[in-house]
Amino acid sequence: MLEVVHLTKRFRATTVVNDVSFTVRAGEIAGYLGPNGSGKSTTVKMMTGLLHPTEGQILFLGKNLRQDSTVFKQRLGYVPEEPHLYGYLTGLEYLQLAGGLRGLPEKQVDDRANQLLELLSLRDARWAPISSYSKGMKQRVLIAAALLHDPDLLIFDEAQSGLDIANALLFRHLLRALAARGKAVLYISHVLELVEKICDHIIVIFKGRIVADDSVARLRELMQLPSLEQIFAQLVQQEDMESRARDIAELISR
Amino acid sequence: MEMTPFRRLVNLFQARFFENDDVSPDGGFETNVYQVMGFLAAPGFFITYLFMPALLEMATKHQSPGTQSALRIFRLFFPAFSFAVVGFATFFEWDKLFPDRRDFLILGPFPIRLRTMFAAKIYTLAVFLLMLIGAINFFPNVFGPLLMLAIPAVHEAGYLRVVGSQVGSTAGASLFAFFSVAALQGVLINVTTPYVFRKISPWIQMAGMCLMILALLLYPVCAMLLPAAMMTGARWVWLVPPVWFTGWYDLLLPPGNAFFLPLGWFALKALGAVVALFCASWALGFRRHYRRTLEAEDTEIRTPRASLFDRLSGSPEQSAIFRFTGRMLARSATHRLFLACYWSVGLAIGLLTAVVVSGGHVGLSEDGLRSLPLLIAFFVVSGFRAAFQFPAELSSNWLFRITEDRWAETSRRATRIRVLASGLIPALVLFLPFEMAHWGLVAGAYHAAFQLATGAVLVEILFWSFDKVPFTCSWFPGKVSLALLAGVYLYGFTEYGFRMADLERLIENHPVYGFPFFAAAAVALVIFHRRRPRASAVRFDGNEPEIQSLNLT
Repeated sequence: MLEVVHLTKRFRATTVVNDVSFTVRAGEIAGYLGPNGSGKSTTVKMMTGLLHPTEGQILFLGKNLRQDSTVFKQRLGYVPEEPHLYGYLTGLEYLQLAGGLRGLPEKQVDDRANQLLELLSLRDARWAPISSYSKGMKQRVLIAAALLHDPDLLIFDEAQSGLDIANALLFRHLLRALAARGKAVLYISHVLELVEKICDHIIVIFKGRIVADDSVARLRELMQLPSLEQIFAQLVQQEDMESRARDIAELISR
Repeated sequence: MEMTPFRRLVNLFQARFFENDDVSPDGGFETNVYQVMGFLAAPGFFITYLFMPALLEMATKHQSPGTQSALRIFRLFFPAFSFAVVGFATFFEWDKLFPDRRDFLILGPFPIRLRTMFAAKIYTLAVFLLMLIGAINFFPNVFGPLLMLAIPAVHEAGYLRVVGSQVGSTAGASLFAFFSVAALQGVLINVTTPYVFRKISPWIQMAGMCLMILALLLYPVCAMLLPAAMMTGARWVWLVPPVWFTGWYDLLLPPGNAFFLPLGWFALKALGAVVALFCASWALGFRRHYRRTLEAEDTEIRTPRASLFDRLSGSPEQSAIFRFTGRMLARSATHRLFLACYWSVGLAIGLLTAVVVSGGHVGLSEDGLRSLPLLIAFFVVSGFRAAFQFPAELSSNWLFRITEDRWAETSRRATRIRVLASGLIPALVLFLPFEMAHWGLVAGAYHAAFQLATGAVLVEILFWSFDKVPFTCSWFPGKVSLALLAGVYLYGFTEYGFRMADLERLIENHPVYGFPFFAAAAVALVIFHRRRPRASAVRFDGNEPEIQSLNLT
């Protein structure tokens, strides 16, 4: 459904994303992993049209995004990493805005927005301004806005961040339910346990380059490591965090 | 040397005065301070320069009642200017005078005594006030006395006395403006709940800023009335604080004028009273405000209100943009304040054209009254256009950017309907009772129809090339087009107001011209409405942000 082909992004002399290629298929949950500063969000910003690639292309159903972004935007649902929302609006008003901007009829937007807010336990807060919401509530508004138009492709950038236990569990089931309905899901997270449990395949980016792109089972087999955490640590050349933590504890007690 | 908690708090509070998006979004603290000070000092320089020929002329003439009156008008200007600018700046910084909920939430957990916080706030306000007074009055206080010394009657007093009187009257008017506003806030904090205070604050701020702009721009009316007031002992001078402070010249440069000496003493007492009120209300209110602000419920409920225009706003995208602009205008204090300032200037210019001073009496000009609503309509429409350019919560515009589909025309339509719904029509409805009361029912209704027709065409013209989604774009017009725009505006508000008033009178006197006029306006609106420019995308950023997008994760 979505193909990223030799995607590169340079900011002056710095290459942030370097020749990245991967595919996300319909009905699949793809995990996109990498340490901070590896280029994940830049890739996503290019996929959503917020940044233009320096080189390479992004294909949706075989069509280049730059040539026909309208169809892509209509079928994309996106939850950004930071909960940037218009704080002056209420939760329901924000969903009405999102639905309107996607060209949905008003009645449909109202019905669906109210139902989504109910299901995401935000009904009581729907008339309160978003500026008064907790981080978890803002995330749920963003998730509702991303699902409002029944998109075919969903990009969740740290979408579970700030969610309480019940809502995090709901979100996990939701990802599976969406994939089961044939939607392609690109899921970016630092919670490796969750990624290991729900993702069909994993893409690991490090210093702007893809260093792994396969199923968890196959990666385990190839690298002969028992968990995704260990695989990830080896791929991104992570140092021994246990000894670094000891160093920090020692430093503050000096 | 170690920085004390007091010093750190002072730095924090100072930064909140100057480091904000209203001044310069990307500037640091010092850059913003220099910018603000320069911005405040510049008018003083130009005004002193503009007064120079009048003062030199006074110096060469023999002393006469006319010269005395001219000198008095000159002496009224600087206290009036300081009063209005300091009052405006204090209202502008209204939210930052007292520490707010955010300050208390951040600073509360730290081991800082409340009295240290209070002292730091007072110290910050004192520095802010001194910088403000210094910047506004620097050029008038240095060059004004030098010019005044050329006048023989003033020369006898000596330079230091003249400087003292000039500094005293301007500083006195400035202090009075500042302490009045700060004391008003202190009293409100003591007598209202945090919720009520939060609700009424934006309205008080808006009204206060409007009042200060009106006070400054209506100075010519006051100046024209002053000579007659001196002769007749008019009572209105007791209602205008800057006039009281001109009495300080008389207190410090004997022998003073018998009319102004009591006003000078009254100014002194009034200043003492507002300072006392400020001290009492702030000392009593600070701890109470801290406790109650932290305890107050912060959530307010905003239930929807349907408007007639919601149903007329076309496609879902157009409707979404229309509602978005309405909600932002209603809820963004910055944009509301900006519009209030814009409209205050329009109202003041309108009033200046409508009011005639003759023989020390205020009268109304029929021509001015006719052009008043047209001038205000111009400022309302152009004010909306300017306000829409300023972004609100820019980081949230990603929603528009990921859904945008060649919306330039969709947005332009939604924006034009918004200007009609929230600007032009409410302004004309507000004016309708005055129009009907002054011109009669039929003529008033005709005027409203005429103003609506011309205003609607004006909206189309001013938004002809508006290709943004309001509040979501980070770029401004280039420098060349800004200069061009300033010229067009200057020409626009004078020509539009007066020429349309002439046309209105012509049609009123010859109703036969009414039909072709309204038909022409209708045709123009239909042509504008049917205009189908090539579908184009909205440009949200001036350039692709190369540096700021490096917030990688």
